[in-house]
Amino acid sequence: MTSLSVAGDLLHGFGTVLDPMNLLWAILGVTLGMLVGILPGIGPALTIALLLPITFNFSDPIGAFIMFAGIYYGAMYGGSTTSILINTPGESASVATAIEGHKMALKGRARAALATAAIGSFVAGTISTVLLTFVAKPIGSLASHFQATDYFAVTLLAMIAVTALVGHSIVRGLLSLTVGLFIGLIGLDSLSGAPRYTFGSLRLLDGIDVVIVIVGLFAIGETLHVASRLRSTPDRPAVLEKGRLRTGYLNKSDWKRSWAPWLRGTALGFPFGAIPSGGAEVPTFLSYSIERRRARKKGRDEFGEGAIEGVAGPEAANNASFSGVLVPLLTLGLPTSATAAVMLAAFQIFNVQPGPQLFENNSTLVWTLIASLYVGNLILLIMNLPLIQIWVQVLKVPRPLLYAGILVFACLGVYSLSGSGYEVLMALLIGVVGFFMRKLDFPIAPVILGVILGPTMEEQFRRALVISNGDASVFFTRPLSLIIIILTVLALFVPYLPRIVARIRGTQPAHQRLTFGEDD
Amino acid sequence: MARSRTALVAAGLAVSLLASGCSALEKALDGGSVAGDFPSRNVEIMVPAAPGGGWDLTARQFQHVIQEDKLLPGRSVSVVNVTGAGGAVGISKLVTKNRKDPHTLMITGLVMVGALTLNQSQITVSDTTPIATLTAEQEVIVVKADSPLKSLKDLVEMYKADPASVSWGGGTIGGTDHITAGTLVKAAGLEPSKVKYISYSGGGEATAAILSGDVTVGISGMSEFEEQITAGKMRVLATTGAEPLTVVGKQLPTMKSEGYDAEVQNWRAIVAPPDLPDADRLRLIDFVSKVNASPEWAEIRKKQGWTEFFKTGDDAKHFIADETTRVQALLKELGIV
Amino acid sequence: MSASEEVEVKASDVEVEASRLVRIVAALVLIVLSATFLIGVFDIRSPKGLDPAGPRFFPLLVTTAWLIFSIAYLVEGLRSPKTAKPVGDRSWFEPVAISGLLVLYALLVVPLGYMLATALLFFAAARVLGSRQLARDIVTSLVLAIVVYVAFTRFLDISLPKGVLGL
Repeated sequence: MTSLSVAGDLLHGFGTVLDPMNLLWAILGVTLGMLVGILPGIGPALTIALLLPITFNFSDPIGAFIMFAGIYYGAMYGGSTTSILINTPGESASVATAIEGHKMALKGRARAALATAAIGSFVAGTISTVLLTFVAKPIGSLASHFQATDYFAVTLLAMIAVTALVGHSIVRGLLSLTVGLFIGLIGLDSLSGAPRYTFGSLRLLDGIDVVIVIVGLFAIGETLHVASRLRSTPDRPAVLEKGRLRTGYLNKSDWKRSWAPWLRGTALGFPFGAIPSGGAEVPTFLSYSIERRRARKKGRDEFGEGAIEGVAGPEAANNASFSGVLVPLLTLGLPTSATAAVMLAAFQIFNVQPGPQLFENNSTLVWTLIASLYVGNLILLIMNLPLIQIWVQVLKVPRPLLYAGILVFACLGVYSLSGSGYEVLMALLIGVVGFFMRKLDFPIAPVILGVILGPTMEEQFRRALVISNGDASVFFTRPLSLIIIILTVLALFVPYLPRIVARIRGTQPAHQRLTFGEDD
Repeated sequence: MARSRTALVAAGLAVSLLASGCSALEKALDGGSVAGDFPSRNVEIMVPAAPGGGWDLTARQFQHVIQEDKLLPGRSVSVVNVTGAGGAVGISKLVTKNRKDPHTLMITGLVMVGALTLNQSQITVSDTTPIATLTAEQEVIVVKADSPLKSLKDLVEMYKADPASVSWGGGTIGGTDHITAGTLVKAAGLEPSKVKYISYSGGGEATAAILSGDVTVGISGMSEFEEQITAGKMRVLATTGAEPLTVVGKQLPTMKSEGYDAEVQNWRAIVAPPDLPDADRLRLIDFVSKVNASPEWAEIRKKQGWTEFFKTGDDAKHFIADETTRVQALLKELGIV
Repeated sequence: MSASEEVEVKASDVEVEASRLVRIVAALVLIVLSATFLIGVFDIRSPKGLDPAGPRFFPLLVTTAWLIFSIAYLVEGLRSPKTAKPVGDRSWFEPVAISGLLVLYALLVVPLGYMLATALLFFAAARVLGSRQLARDIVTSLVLAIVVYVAFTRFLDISLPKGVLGL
């Protein structure tokens, strides 16, 4: 496919998407996506699944897909709003944003945090859509080359690279991580069918949904924590710094500090979205870690107190991952995330089969969908910059009502997962754990990381060993795995390299700027 | 001190409730419903799985047909998802909470038979009142296009020579794909306990594993692999139904046509709670037959690639009982229970 | 910067909130839990043969690591200076009451129905959290419950319990 014909196809796609009806679907999708992104527990996958029956009545599938795409990236952005304002991410891809974003809001910088998230999402969404437009096919084939050993190596790399999440205390950070890994173990072992730590309960056989863990640790844990402090910290609205600057909600230094994390976040999000079991979470955590390390090396470590880089990077990463997810979905028919799987089902309902022949057989649909991503991203930006003024009003809601509302939505989110009060109790139990973690100053994010990465890591490790009949050398004999494992080892040691070299030479290191993820 | 006393009471309540054991708690949390002649209330179709899967799609399409054709005048039909343990949570709710109630129906299928066996559940699908089986989907056994295996016989020979050299990739452990692998090996007169089965969550993961050459052979429903087959990236060794399927004008071999006397169909059925009054049971069978006969439903089956597989009442009951016995024995032979 | 603002900024997790004793107790709880789960590894059904690592391998790894870090945390707690005092007086009433409310909600949401149970939860939680404007609380709780119920059942087709109101 030449780039000229790509441009022609894309133009044609724009022609279709700019049809008023289709624009309306895009706006509707983005709005709906933002709402479900804000609500804890109700993610894009569930929303699209529930909307599927409605779309049966659409005569033309294009409108439905434009809307679904809107839901997806609307949700990716919407999740950041609650993360920043009230420290309650609605889904796993926004957990990394909450760490610095909420600190910024506490410092009165909610507008800047929301703005860097919105603009970052736009930048990342647009760049990754350009990548999708031009390199979909070569990137797509990547997914069909990954074997179990490679996946294992990737998860190992991710696990090592995100150690920055651990926080002030290594012991507490690692404890949080192991607790997360443990939660990930609960349920039926997918490879042997053996129940693990289910204590005889049927409900636990499926494991504990990561949404319940997030809602419990963040929404409920935070509410309990705030509740215990109400008497010592009187209710008064958070201070907001002055509104509009000449440079928008971001001041000059914010812009300077945001643009590079946006680009790096995009560079992480896109490829991770494109590989199966990559998803949107891992790149957000990776982006956070990289930004944190870079800041530290520059001696400007504001991390832990509301560093804008820690919002800009992860938010760009989760939006970029969506275009990444579309790559194997469109070119191979491979869904690499839950939402993509539901979208695949939607394609099939309309008798459209994503895969190697999609670009030939349904060229209009594909290019309209891609064009709708450009348009949708722009809509998201245009809608959200003014909306920031409205969102920050949330901070002015009296705290008793705000937190009572958080409880209501937290319960709704977990209840809708299974239609039973059981999940509410489970979330409460985890919320109590989250409460004590806050009291004892344990970091929360590593728990989520453990829940997400642990099961994948174990599954791929064991699959690789079953396939090789127990021969552990497979992890080192496949070139791809070997390269990733070498990168992992580098990620472990490179940050200390200048110091080690200096020690050997007996001198002080000149500058400590060598770090994993360095690209300038 | 009133406050701290309230706190104590609340704490005591919380602790005692949490400690009173999961099963008692589950009872309290789910609620129940009352009986009555069908259709004297709104009808609920329970999907014992999350939105988006095959059962969910079946239920929502079923609901769609009922509403379009106005088959329940004056009453509404809603779909309720009760997730958990491959359907075990849903069926235990149906069996314990909704006895005698003709207004709560549940979608079930072969996958649930496997899951209940794997979970060593006391409840089986036969504990419900089967109304009708609805649809069936063939399974398909594939290899990557450049695989040296050209026919089902090649695969069986490879397994015969060295079972450990064959990795079978498919969906959930104990599910239809796993059952298919076991059925084939057994039909070839070989030992199922040596089947090196690698489970993947969802078709996407399994497809990737087949294309990357991670597993020797892949098994799944036709819809999962159809595009790759059409594009020439996968080769079909056999489908598992009685009737041969045709893809891009080419008739595909079945296990039977390749000389292995076996059949596996991923069937789905609709069942009612136990102890249903006979009159209600007959009315339900009549009602479901009307849906099944609707042209709308035929259209949906065609769109989804489901074949009609309609058995009602006692036929359905015996079929489900037979499948349960067969699957229980097979999973034992596969060494997973 | 005034003292109260300082508390506000550091609020979330910078300060040490828990006393040395609480941390030591927490460490002991963690040790007991991890040790129990470590022993529990050997109750996991492990089919022999085809899976070299098996379903016990990762649990063993994770619980062992958990136990080791718990012991390290205990040592850290024992070594910490006895003088460090927790900040401020924290109340236990509100978190316990909120937890109780959530337990009641979980039990009552099906029998009472979504709207009623949710309105009650919101109202009670707002009161526990210190809201003292009766009219506002009642109106907000009713409006919120109704809007959420209608939005989710009508537009998203998520089924929520109808309960006693039968709506």
